[in-house]
Amino acid sequence: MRALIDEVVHGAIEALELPDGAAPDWLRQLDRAAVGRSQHESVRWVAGLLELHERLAQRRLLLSILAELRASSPSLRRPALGPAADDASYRLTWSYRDRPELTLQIELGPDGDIEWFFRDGDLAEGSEEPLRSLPKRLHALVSRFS
Amino acid sequence: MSDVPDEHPLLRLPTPPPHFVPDSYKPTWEVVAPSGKEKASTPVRISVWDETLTSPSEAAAFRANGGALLVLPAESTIAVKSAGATRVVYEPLPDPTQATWPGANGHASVEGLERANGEPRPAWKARLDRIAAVFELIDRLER
Repeated sequence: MRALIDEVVHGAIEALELPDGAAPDWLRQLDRAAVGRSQHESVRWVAGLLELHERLAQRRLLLSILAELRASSPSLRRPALGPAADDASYRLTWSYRDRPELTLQIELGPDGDIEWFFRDGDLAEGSEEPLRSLPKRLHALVSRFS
Repeated sequence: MSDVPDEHPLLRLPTPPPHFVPDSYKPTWEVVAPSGKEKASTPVRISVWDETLTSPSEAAAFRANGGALLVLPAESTIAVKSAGATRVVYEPLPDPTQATWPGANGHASVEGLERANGEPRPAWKARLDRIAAVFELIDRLER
């Protein structure tokens, strides 16, 4: 039974992670709040991706960026996903208790502008102004979260 | 305004909650970043709760909008100050009609989180990030 559930979840993730894909009807009918409370990270990821599918402006760019970063770091962990306080921008954040000194965040503005921030202990770097494309530097930084 | 005792645990209920949180997620700078409204106050303060006086559900009741909230407890006020905040003080709620609600006397504020003049953005975020790491994400509170 578990194997079947894993297969369904895997299929859902594959469909939802396509930058140009649309969420299948059966997925859109799920109780997102309930799915989002699952103990299984992969199931919660489905709920997060479904929320993202509501934000058409940023979905394609975000999923393209994620695919690009995974191409250079195939075992990249899943980032936190969520809107900024102004609800206009959207953030991907890599930050884990087992890597307490490290944080990486990419923020996508409503017009596709990109801001980023990285911390390694007391060292910090990031954008001072919005950028129009993903800096190459992020490929090296994101490999720290595999 | 009196200081919250150093050993008291704190609660922070930031909004909006993320859409997805991975296993072993560590809260980051944005959960303690002052909101637009908080930036307008002098001094700049973010809202927290003294957990010895206010429970998570009591704190959530003061939020006007429904929906889930993140609950972020910190072990103690001193941990938050050691990470970089300058002061944690009790502060009356801005809406006086809420003063008699359960848990109202636990409302407090953290100072020292605004971006200083000339402080580079990454440095400011890193400063807040170290403070945010003192908080622990325990769960979403459904309302």
